[in-house]
Amino acid sequence: MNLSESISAVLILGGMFFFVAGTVGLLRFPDFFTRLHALTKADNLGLGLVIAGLAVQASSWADVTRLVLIWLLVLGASATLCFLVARTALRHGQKPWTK
Amino acid sequence: MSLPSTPTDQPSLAPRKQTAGEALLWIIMFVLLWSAINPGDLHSWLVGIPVVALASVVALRLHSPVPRRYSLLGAVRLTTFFVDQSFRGGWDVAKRALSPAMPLNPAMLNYPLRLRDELAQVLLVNLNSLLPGTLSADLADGVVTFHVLDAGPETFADMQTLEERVAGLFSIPLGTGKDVRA
Repeated sequence: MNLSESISAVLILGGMFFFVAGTVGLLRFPDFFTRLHALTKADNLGLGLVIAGLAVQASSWADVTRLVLIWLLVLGASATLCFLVARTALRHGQKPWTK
Repeated sequence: MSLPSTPTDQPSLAPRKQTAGEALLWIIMFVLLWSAINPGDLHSWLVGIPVVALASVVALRLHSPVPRRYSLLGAVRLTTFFVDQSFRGGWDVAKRALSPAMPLNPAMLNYPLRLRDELAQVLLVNLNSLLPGTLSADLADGVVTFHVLDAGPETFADMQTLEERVAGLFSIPLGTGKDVRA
């Protein structure tokens, strides 16, 4: 592996770690809202690191632009949907879990 | 929520006519974006021209008519803060999810915003959702309802910092020293 491949591998593995942690959180967390946390975070850090890892190996700036655009679009969709889902649940009387 | 309001704090909400200059700006931006993702591909403009036209129309219609001043330094500071918080929070949440004891102390909290500008409020709410550990659940009458995985003494301070960074992007002065827990 040359340098860019190594950097790329480290970034993608890092991204995968956050996806795994997010999935574990989704399965283990106690209620609706805490599980919703687990979903949004994977999009931000997890996908961000995977995209960064792929961008290192991209053959052209057009590819890098495309990858970054994909990440930004996912972030926008993720934040908007997360807010709408949480607000609907809250307004329909979903009670957050407390210790 | 009586805040010291300065003229720049509350921009006029009166509808402003879209200018040809603004339209041109959007068109240039979308043309650049299209060329960036399809470099040197003349045939792609068969799709590109209608897409640029459509995107410009949508952007002009949706773009809020309030005049804004964006700060480049503010953008850099907000981005740095967002990336830094993403890693800290992401690591923290990952540890909690993977720890056998799973230490959580969730809470639903209300935060009255000092930000008045609607676009700035929406940006803050969305960034707050993307940051690990916090999740926006409602925005009504300038109050954000948000959920935290681990309520602690620094929870409101983090929110205040995020609000200040967002205000910095739009060059909006914020009142200081307000007790948000009141």
